[in-house]
Amino acid sequence: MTVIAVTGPYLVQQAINALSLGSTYALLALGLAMLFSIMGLINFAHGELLVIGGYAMWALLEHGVPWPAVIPLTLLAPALAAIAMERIAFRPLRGASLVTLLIASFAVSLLLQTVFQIFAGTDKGIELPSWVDDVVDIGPYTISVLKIVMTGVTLLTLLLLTLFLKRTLLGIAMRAAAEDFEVTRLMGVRANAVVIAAFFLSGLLAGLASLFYFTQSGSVGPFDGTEPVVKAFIAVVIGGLGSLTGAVVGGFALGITEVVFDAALPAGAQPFGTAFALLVVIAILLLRPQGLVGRPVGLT
Amino acid sequence: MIRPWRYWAVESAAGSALVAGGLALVFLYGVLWAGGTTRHTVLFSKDTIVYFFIDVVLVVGLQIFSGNSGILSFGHTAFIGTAAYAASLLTIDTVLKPYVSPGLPHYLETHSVGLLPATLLAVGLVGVLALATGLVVLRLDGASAVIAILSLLLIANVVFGAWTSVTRGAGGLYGMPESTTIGWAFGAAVLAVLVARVFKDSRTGLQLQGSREDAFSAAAVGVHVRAARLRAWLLSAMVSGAGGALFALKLGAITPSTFYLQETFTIVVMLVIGGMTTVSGAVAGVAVVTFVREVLKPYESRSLDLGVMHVDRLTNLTNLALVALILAVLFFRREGLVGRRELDESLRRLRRAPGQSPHALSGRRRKRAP
Repeated sequence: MTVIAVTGPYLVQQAINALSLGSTYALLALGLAMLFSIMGLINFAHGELLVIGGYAMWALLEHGVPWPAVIPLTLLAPALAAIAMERIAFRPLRGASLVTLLIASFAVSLLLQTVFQIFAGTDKGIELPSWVDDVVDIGPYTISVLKIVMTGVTLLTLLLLTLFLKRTLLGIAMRAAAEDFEVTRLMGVRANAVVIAAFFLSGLLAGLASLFYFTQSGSVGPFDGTEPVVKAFIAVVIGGLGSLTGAVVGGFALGITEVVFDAALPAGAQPFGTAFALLVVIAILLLRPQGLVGRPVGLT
Repeated sequence: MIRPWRYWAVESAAGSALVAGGLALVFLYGVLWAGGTTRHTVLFSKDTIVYFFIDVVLVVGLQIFSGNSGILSFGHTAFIGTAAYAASLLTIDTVLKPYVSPGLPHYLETHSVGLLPATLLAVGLVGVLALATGLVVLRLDGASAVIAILSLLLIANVVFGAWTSVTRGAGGLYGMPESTTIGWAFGAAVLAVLVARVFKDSRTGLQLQGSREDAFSAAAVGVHVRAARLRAWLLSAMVSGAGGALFALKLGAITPSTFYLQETFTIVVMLVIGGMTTVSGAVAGVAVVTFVREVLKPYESRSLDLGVMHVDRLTNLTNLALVALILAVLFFRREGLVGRRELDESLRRLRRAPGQSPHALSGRRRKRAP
């Protein structure tokens, strides 16, 4: 990047890029953190929920369903899939160790990828409405409308989620379960209600992320979920495992780190951007093993 | 029952004779029957047997760290891949090298070595990398450690794909001599089994297993958990690296995607199905998965008519079987097929006089506690 490029409009442009990328990571990370804090599950199959959202979007648009209907259905499909996933794969393993749950979710992830591969085959193009490419001029800045909408919707979602977790009975039960599941059950909260709600919400958040992710990529394939979900894992860890606020902070931190490396690296080193970002992440963990927001726990 | 502690290595090595014997039978089968092209029907080809031995090295390599420490590593494929790339770059014919990998330093570009030196150098390189990464990621614990280790795999994958002047990027390396013979693979597999078993029964190995069951209690009785984990990490990465080098020199061509999540999953499945706490389990897992894979392979190209829809090819049918297998193991036999005892230990137990408590620790083990 040349010096000329680092001017006002460029900076604002990159800031929006960082925020919109961070939004996607934050939404995914939040879903992951929710499941982890409540049932100790590192859910590899979260990425496949994202892809299910993508396929739902593709299938609905193929059949000429109008966008106002596509959006809620795209949100709902991964949420229902998440509930099914819990019932079939994770309920028999409730209370199992971290490693067992991890392997199970890895297996579910691979199962879904294979099923996508068999039934959907190659990448499917998603037909996007023209407003996706719209830009808006604010003073000297030209900014993509979609990215502003993404950031805005994410912030709104976070606000609604916070209200849900703080003000409703189920939300409070979920936060309590994240602290101590056993004691929460002793207070008369049904374990299944909390777990199902957590899976539903995490699927819903994945659905929102898939709306953002696939309107930007423009196509959906069987393995598209892997990279974002692994990034989201990393976001969760940077923020601090088990902390929902941490997941959001980590998501945005990762988004910003990636955009900064993308912009700051010389052209020859550009392909290594992700590697550098991950090294920064590991360095953060070296200084704060408990994450940016988390509390120190553990042995080593 | 008290025996001198210094014999543990001999005893452990003798204990793994059962597994090594099994491997030797497979080796004999491979040499005598699978090799003969004139045989009418051969269930397993010689290649399958070579890959089986290589997989044994890879899975046993992972067992050394994950089985003893209880921290499942999704990062070992990074070491496998690094060793594979290193061994490839060391063995590609010098005539071909400037075209395949123009970015190599001059000395490397003009010199190539054979299988054994290439493997040893690759293992050395992996050792250095394992030390550097281990010092960092093993500071973490539990789920954070799992994810930090996973990010090593991501970093490696980015480097394999992006360092185009040396690795040829997504196109991958080719032109390695396919020099991993069944003999080398068998030798490496037996050596890996011995190393893993002796490590498992060593002081560090026992300390690590203690920390796997309860890290806080282990630390409370004086185990330096992080140091024990680091030693296992180092040894484990190097064994995996040896497997990776042999793997590349069997394949003859590698790409970054050879060493990514699919390979990671296969190795993890093999380890978990057999039972990750034992070396016998690791080997048994490789055997089961290899068998299932070979039996299902012919069906992968078949088509399927479901009435509602038609499927042209059952791509990755093997994956579906592996998923089913692993979920079954997780649901019904969480410790894996072999369980928590090595095969020879179970055998000894069977021969013991009835009435003796099956839960008593053996004298051997009690003596060896630090």
